[in-house]
Amino acid sequence: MKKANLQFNFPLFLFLILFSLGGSSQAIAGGDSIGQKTRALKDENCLLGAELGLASKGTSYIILDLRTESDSVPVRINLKNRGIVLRKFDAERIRYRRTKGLVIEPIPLIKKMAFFPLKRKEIRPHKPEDGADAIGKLDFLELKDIPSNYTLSFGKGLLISIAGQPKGLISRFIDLIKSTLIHIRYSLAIVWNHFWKNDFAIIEIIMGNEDAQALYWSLEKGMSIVVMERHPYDTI
Amino acid sequence: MIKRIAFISFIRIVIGIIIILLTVELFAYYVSSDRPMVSSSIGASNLNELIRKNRTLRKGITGLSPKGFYIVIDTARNLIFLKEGNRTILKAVVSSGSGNILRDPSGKRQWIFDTPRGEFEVNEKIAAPKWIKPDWAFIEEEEDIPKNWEDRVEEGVLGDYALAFGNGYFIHGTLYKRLLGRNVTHGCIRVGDEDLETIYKLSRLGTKIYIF
Repeated sequence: MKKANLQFNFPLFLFLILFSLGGSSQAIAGGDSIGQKTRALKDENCLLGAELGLASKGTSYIILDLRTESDSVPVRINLKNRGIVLRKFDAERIRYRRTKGLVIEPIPLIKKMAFFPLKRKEIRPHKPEDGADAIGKLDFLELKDIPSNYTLSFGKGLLISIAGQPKGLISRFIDLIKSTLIHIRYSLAIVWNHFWKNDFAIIEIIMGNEDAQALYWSLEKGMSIVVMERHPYDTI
Repeated sequence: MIKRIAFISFIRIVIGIIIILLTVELFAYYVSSDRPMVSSSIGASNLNELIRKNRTLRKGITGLSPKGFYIVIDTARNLIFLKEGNRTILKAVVSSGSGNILRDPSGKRQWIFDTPRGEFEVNEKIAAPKWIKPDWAFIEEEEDIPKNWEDRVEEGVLGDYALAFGNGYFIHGTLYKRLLGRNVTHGCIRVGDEDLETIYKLSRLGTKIYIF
């Protein structure tokens, strides 16, 4: 009986270890302050240089600054145009892994991938009806039709997986299992790409459901992102 | 007994899978950590030079941002903002493009009713605007497309003011105020009367419009 209990608890134990490892940070303290400052400035100048290039084009772009992650300051995904912030999306949780550090430069969005992608509705021509009734029959895309779980495929092997934070206990449990499976899938991808020496980076982001949907709506193919990594030797 | 053996086998398989996945996870963790990020090559390495460069870059970005009033439209939340610098002068609910598709019965043409995204500017200010109905408006209502231009003109449906921002798209008023806040238009931005008046009065030709 005792043995059976041990066998039952062991997977749970491993499951918890798996989770804690996946969520742990890459930060290691160290480095002299002038060196750190120089490096931080150099990195920031790279970010600003990349942003200047994008801002001068007049198209919208995204700045994802992973350095801002802490308990009090959430990581923000800033949607910008001409240097002005159009909208800030707060990430509730972020997990970032890669086979090689990303270069701080604009990376274009290639594809939005969702299990239930957005489907446009077709208008069936009809004779106009009187006001109220006609309005009641209107069929159009709304935020609730937009997926909240999706993956954004950018160039240079960068994937950003977005998951909306579901409401309700059952939805949260289902989401936990789903996100664990996604996490495992990307762990396998990391190992695979490491062996084949491919550039691969995966950023898993959990945010509010409506924010996730609004972000999906706002992003367009070809839009560029600049990711500013937290340096592995920086303290949080 | 058989049930017990099956159960133990099942548990072993589960543990086996978990051990394999944990190994992959550990390896992925090892592989993805401790590899420094790559700064692209901005040459300067002297601290003062870097600070100077930083200021220049910040100034460059700030210099690109719009001067005076500008309009920001969030089509996901159906909101319009009239801003000046970082200050929001006005925030209002709007209706934007439905994203629906309309096909010409002949099969030759189709329209996607999206609000365009990106940077635009006010290129015409119109008081008491008249709507020149395009072909799709007749097709949608199962009417014949008129041959005379005058038959396309409809008054009063665009509200008191309209701001054109190119390719036949406008920020204008609406008769359907209860639909404000929803994505129901053919691509234009519909705004309530009072908010539209403020936006119209504070906008000039060339006022920047950012839509996302």
